[in-house]
Amino acid sequence: MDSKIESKIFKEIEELKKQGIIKDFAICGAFATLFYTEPFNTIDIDILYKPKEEEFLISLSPIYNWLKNKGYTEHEEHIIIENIPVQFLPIYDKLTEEAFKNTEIKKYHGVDVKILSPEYLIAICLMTGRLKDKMRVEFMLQQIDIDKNLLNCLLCKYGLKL
Amino acid sequence: MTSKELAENIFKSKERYHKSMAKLPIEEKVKMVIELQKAIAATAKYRKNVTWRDYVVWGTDWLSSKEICSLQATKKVIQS
Repeated sequence: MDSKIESKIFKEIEELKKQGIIKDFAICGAFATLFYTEPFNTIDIDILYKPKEEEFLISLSPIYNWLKNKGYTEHEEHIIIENIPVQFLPIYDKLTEEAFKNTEIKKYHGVDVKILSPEYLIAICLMTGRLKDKMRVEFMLQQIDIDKNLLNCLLCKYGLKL
Repeated sequence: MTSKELAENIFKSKERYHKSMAKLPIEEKVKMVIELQKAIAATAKYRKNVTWRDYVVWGTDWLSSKEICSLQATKKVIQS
């Protein structure tokens, strides 16, 4: 496969931003974790986004409708862009809001992409607490140099435990 | 070398390997992810409780595959 396809996905999402459908976005979840750790299986790309306006009720319809008009298909909770399931998550709590403000910029096939930093990815994994999230935490703690002060601050602030 | 030292050497070597894999360029890692997806999809027929997630292989038209169509058909029958 031409793995530049993922870059095309990020360009499409960038277009959502240019069209004013979302304010901004960053890569989170497993795909973001892959930037830091050894490879592991994942099936989708998670996008954390900042909604256009701060509203109490958030709808994914404007995003999905715009992408569906471009010929992409909706499948269960994903939208399939270039045969890759993509999931959009709005910033949903204080932790994701803070994570969004502290992203890192990484190059992917020459395209600049915003990625959640590993300390925030760990905190979010601990918050969600699924088995696969615990595995990712393990990977990040063992394989990369974590800012331990920042991580401890986050754990304390959000009442999380390793 | 004691058995404990031998075991420690093996663990250190494994740790070095995992760290070196983590340092690979993301583009290379994604290629490996796709190989993993292919392996999972190829062995799905031997497993129970498979879902569409087991057939996802980036860069292929997995959504139109006969396996996915069959899964969707089964789901419709169960729902009806």
